[in-house]
Amino acid sequence: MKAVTLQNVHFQYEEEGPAVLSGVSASIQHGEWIAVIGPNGSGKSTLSRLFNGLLLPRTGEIYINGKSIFSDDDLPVIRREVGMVFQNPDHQFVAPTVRDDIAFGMENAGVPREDMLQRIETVARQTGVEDILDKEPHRLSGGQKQRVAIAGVLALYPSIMVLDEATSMLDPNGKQEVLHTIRSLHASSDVTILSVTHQLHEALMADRVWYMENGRIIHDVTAEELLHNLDWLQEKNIPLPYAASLYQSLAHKGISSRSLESFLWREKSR
Amino acid sequence: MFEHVIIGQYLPGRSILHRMDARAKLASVFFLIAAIFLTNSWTGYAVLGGAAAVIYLSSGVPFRYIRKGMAPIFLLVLFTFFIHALFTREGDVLLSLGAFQFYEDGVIQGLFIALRLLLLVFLTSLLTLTTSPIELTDAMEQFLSPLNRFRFPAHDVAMMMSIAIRFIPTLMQETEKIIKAQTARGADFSKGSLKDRAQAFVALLVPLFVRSFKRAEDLAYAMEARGYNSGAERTKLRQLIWKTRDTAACVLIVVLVAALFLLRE
Repeated sequence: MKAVTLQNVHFQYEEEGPAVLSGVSASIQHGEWIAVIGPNGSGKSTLSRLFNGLLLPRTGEIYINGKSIFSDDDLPVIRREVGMVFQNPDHQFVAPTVRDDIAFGMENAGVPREDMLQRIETVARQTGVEDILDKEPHRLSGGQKQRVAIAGVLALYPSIMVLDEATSMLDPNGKQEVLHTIRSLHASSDVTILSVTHQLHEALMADRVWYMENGRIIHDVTAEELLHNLDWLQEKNIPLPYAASLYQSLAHKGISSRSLESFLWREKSR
Repeated sequence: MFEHVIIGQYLPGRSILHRMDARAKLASVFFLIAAIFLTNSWTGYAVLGGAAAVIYLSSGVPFRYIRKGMAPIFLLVLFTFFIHALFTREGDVLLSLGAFQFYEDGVIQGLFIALRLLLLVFLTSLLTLTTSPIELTDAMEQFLSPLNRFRFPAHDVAMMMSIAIRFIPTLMQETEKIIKAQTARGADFSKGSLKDRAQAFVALLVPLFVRSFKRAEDLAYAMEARGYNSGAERTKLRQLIWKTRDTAACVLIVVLVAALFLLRE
């Protein structure tokens, strides 16, 4: 069973409005990390909101761990299985303190208090917020707030985590903090991750990258394959991270990664 | 400008009053306020004043915080005193100043009203100084929860209050940001006629409202995504713990109020 299956998904916000998603079909394996990139208005964020039924497709089907998001009985379960972290750190912090905010989802799910206290300890350590549990949101940095949001999601033991541009409003330090948390999560657990991003270097951390345009997934490639198509990315005006851009310049000069690698080894042993 | 914002006027501490259950405090203040308005004798007010002093001493709150809380109503107290003193024309004339005459009953009535207002603000200040807004919200939710039977959404009301409290500093930070942004564009919030200034505030309020609506929408999405369902049973992380001393305090207050009721003239 796949973690996520999308079958010919169509979506538009208004009946007569423009199509936001037009025929998206894809699937995600358990434990996989998918990054979604693409220009503004390509449908990335909309796609991410379909994963736990915040929005429902006009036509097509979505299965989360084999359960259809159209089933009213399964939707609460799906909401628990799919955790979402949104873009703006300030617009998703509900409770007065970090501890209460991590507990918010569990309170909704009816988790007993004893379990809550224990889970808060665990996820706070996992996300590195154990020292700020009693702080109020306005005393936290953006990166801290996003890690609290991740902790709140993890406390519900999700099998899938959706991050909708979760780092885009953070300063460089905050971005690093959050990316570090996501990476260690991916390495240490089998949570399936879908991250929507504008940053190619973030996308390259994932296992697989979906490139979206005009409501369709145009490319579905591994991160490695993406690196071999840097020229194409540049045509799409996607700014390359420094390392990738160096890699591309070298390739244009006829220096392949293999020859560079053997050159560097040779230099090192000399 | 707003970095050191303290929500409400809660002053964290470890005094007996701080550690009391918020429900006990809320109920006590409620009873005492009832007593304040029922009392109509000097002995009664002496007893109430004594009780208020004892409560104050157990709070460990420096007096200047109370003074700050009471300052805004001082004018109101003076105003009501004079209204009563001047317009209750019963008893003997105590003092005559031109067209104004102070009657004995009027002055007594005015003093009572002033005392009532001062005691009221004194006690509610002590409550909010020693109880965090969140504890107060939780306590209110529990007091309102019997109304659930009449379809009154006690929990939703408490959730609304706690979200409102949580967003006060965020809104202030945002206000500050917008003021800076609009000042950079040439807006002036501190000079000019009242009309000019009112117009400048439009440039502040419009973006503030637009952003707030956007935020409300995002927040609703985030809450839904995390499984919030207004009608559903929830568990709670925060607990209010009722101890023997809370019972003792409430009994004391009830006895006091009963005694005050007997002292009525």
